[in-house]
Amino acid sequence: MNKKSIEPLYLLLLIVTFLLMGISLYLIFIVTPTERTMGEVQKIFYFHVPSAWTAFLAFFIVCIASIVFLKTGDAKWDKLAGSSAEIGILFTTLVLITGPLWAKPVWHVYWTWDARLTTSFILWLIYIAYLMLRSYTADSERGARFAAVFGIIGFIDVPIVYMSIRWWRTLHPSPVMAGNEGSGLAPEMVRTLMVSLVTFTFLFCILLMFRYKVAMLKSTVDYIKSKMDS
Amino acid sequence: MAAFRQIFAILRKDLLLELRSKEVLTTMLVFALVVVVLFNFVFDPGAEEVKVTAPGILWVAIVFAGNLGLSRTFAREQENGVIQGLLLCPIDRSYLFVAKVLGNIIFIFLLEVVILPVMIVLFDVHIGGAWPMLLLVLLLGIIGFASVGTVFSAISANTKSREVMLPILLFPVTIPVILSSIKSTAYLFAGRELSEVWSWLRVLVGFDVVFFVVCFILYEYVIEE
Amino acid sequence: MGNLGFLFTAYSVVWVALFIYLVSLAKKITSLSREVDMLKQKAEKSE
Repeated sequence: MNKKSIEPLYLLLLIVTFLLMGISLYLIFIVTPTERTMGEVQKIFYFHVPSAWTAFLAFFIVCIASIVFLKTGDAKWDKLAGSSAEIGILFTTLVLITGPLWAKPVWHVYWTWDARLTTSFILWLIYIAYLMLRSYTADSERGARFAAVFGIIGFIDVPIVYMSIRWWRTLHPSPVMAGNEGSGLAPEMVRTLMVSLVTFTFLFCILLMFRYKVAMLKSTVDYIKSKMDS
Repeated sequence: MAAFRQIFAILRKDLLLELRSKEVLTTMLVFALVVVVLFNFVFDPGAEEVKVTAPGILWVAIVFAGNLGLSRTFAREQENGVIQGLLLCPIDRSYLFVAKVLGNIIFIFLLEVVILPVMIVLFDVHIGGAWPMLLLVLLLGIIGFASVGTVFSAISANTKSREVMLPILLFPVTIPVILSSIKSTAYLFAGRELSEVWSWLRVLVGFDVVFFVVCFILYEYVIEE
Repeated sequence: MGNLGFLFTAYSVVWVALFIYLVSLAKKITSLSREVDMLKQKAEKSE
C-alpha cells in the first residue's frame, strides 16, 4: 500500500461523517427551536446523548469481540475489543464532562449521585481498569484472554449496576431529568437528535477503523521485530 | 459423587494450609479492624448518624479485607507451582472453580463472624432476634463477591502490577452485590420488617446467581496456561 | 458563566477532544507504517 494515499472506504466514510456533522450542527443551532425552560444550554443534549449512545455501542462491541476471541482465539478480535474500549472511554469521558456542564445551570449543581450519573462514572472506571489490565499484562496471548474475560464481565455488569443503584436511591429525592428522553421533546428536537445519533455512529466507525489500523500496524511491527531477532 | 469428592479434596487442602499458617485470616482480620477504627474518626462517636452508617462501615471493612485475602490466597497458589499441579490433576476446571470460591467464601465468612460482634459492641447496634437472618445476609453478600474475586485474583496475579490491580478490577464490578448487602444489613440493623429485608435479599440472591454463573463459565479461560 | 458559556464550553471540549484523538491516531498510523516499510527493507537486505 502506498502510504500517501488513503483507502477509498476511509475517504468515503470521512466525507460522509463531515457532511453529517455539518448537517447536525446546522440543525442543532439554526433549525431546532430553543427549549423554553432551560434555554440555549439544552442544546448540549444533542451531543451529550449521542456520546452516551456511542460509548454504549463501543462497550457492546468490546463484549461481543471478547466473546468471539475466547471462542476462536483469533488475535484480531482482541485488537478490535481493545480499540473499541479506548474509543468508548473517550466518549464516556465526553459524557461525564458535558453532563455536569449541562447540569450546573439547570440543576445548580455539577453533579448528583443519581443512578444514571453514578452508573456512567462506574462504567468509566470499569473500562479504565480494562485498559490498565491490557497494558499491564506482559504475556500478550494470556493477557488477551484476561482482557476478554474482564471485558465480558464488565459489560454484563453495567445494567446490573444501574438497576442496583436505582433501587438503592429510591428512598432519596432524585433530580427530575427535566425535558429528557421523549417526555417533553418537540418533534423537531427528536429529529435533530436522530441525525446527531447517526452522525456520532459514523464518527465512531471512523475512529474505530483508525484505531484498529494502529493496533494491526503495531502487531506487524512487533512480528517483524521478533522475526529479525530470532 | 466424584465431583463432590474432588471439590472437597481441593477445599480441604486450602483449609488445612490456612489452618497451619493462619496467615490470610489474621491479615484480613487485623486489616478489617484498622478500617473500622479509621471510620470511627469520620463520624462523631455516639452520634445518630453512626448507626445509619454502621452497615456501610461493616461492608467496606469486609470487602477491603476480603480483597486482601483474595489476592493472598491466589499468590499462595503460585508459590511452588501449586496451580500448575492443580491443573495437571484430572479434575474438571469448573470443580476447581467451585472449590476455590467455596474456600474464599469460608475465609471471608469467618472474618465476618469475628468482625460483626466487634462492630455491634463498638457502634452500639441492636439486632434483637434477627441473628439468623443477619448471618444469612453476611453469607449471601459474599457469594457474588467471592465468585468475581476468584476469577479476578487469578487475573491480577499474572499482571505486572500484581496485587495492586485486584481492587481496581474488583470493586467497580462488584458494586451491585455490595450495595444490596449494605441495604439488607441496614434494614436488619434498623429493625425493619422481615418482608422488607426479603425484598433486598431477593435482589442480592439474583446478583449472586448472575455473578456466580458468569464467572463459572469464564474461569477456565483465566487459568489455562 | 452564563447559559451560553456552558454551551460553548461543552461543545469546545467535545471538538477539541475528538480532534486531538483523531490527530494522534493519524500520527501513529503514519509513523507505524513508516516503521513497517523500514523494517521490511531491512529484512530484505539482510536476506
